[in-house]
This record gives sequence, C-alpha cells and structure tokens, in this order.
Amino acid sequence: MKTQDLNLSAQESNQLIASGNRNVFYESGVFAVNIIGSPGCGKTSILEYTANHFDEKFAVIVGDVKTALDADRIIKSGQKNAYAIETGGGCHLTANMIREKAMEIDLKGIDYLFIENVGNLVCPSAFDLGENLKIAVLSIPEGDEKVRKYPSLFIRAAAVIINKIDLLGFMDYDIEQVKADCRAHNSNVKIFETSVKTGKGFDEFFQYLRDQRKHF
Amino acid sequence: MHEFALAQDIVETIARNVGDEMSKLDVIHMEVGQFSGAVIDSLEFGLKIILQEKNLPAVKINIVPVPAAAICDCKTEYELDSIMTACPSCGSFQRQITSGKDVIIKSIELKD
Repeated sequence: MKTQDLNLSAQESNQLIASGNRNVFYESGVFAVNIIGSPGCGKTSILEYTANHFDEKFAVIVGDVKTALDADRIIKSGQKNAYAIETGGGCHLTANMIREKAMEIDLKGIDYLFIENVGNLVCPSAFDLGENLKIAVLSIPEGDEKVRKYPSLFIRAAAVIINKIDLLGFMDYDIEQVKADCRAHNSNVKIFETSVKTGKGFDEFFQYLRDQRKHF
Repeated sequence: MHEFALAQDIVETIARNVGDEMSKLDVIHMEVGQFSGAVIDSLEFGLKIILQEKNLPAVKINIVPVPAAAICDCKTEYELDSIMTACPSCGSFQRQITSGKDVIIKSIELKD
C-alpha cells in the first residue's frame, strides 16, 4: 500500500482552464466579470441597461439551461457582441465553456467581458471561469434572507448588486440587514443599489468597473 | 447539484496524477468545507457512479467535513458555527475566512 499526498482542489481541472482563460483575457486587456444571481433577479436587464449606458467596448456571454433568449434580448438592446451558451441542463457555467465561447469573440476589440451565469445561487459560485471579478445580484422581490441562505456565493463575491431598488418600500425588505449580512460574509464587499427603471446606482457601478479594470 | 461535475473533475485530477497506476487506486481521502457549497452525500454518490464507470467499483471514499474558521481583524482565530457567527472577542465581522471554503483531494492510497 502506498499513500500519495495530493492536496489539490477538487476543481483542479476546471481551475487549470480558468487560469488559462484569465491569462488570455489579461493579454488581450479584457477585464472579465462573472455575474451570478437567482433566476429573475435582473441579470439580463442589468446587462441591457449596461449595453445602452456603459460607454466602453465589451462583449457579453450569457449562460442558460435552455434557449438563447437572454442573449437575443441583449443583442436587441443594442449590444451586438452577445453570445449564448446553452448548457442543456447544466446548472452552472464551467471554465471550458467560456474558453470555447471566447474563441468566437474578438478579445482585442473589447475591454470588458460580462459573463451572465446560469440563474442559480449555489453551483455557479464553485466554478472559477477565469474572471477578474465575481458579482452577486440580489433583488428586492426575492426577499431579504438570500444572503444567509447561500453563503458559498456571498463569501466569494467581491461586489453585490441589490437590484429592483425602486420596489423598496412596496415590500417588507430590511435592506440594512441585507447589507450587514453581505458584510458578515465578506467584510470588504462593495454594495450597489440599482434600478434599471430609474437608472439609480449605475453611475457608481460603472465607475467601480473602470476602477477595478485599472488595477487588474 | 454541481456535485456530479465536481466528482468528474476529482476523478480526472486523480487520473492525471497517478497515470498508469489508476487501476491500483484503493482509497480517496477528501475534505469538504462547510461553506464550499458541496453536499457530501451527493459528492460521494457522484464519485461512486463515475468510479464504477471507470471499472473501479471497489475504491473507498473517505470524506471529512471541515468546519469554517476565520481570523478577525483583532487577530482572534475562531470557528464559525454559521456565517453569522461574529468574533467571540470583539463582536466584529471584519475577518478573513481561513478555512471551510474548499473541496480538497487530500491524498490517495494505491494498492501494491
């Protein structure tokens, strides 16, 4: 009997590809953002708003279990550089899916790559895609206990967007508790309150992206 | 339910590291962090299915749960029962989580 120490991450295979993606993005000057949130929290709406208001060169990859509906929405909103990944049942995107899809994108021609993950707060949090920034999206109608229920995402997300903020006041939602919960998971977390209906919070969010890109 | 994908990755990683000796694989020792997002039972189930497919149905799987721990900005090190456990010394949440986030393949045992 022979024992062999490995001490390797269970995501070692995914991690190797993710590191490769990160290198390719870096060499092309692309700052990659992995956006994770529940189905219906407004990830695609945020990217539609971004397509119309973020005055930078970027592309979008959208992961869904079925259909390219979300990528089509983003294309219709004016961002032609949007690509769909249909996982066919998979509950998360993997680094290899991003590696293959990124080959279709002119990376030299963009400065940012937004990756909208499959709507899910558990599995996507465990898979590095080679992004520079992991962002969690919450929304007011989902209720104010999401952060505590899904720690694996919120300990990893560098920033949290609380979306549909225009609905605050119509629902029982303790936003101060949500922010405190976010900080309990990650004391350095950056929190944004946004609404695609009013545009609230997006100037700060876009500036944050520009600042992060300067330092990556 | 990403445990099956994790299990595939684990078996691939072990195969990459042992090469020709994969058929001698006897035991897999793993650690699963409290905040890793992985469910131990599901992971074990996924591993068993994949090992069976690889003609390795007798491989034993030993998974140890790892509690989450943190170091507070006040330098206190403590274990977290839940993510809402504040520092027992100063009550703060200003901390770095030092363990419990990952799923780790610790070691493997190979038959002679």
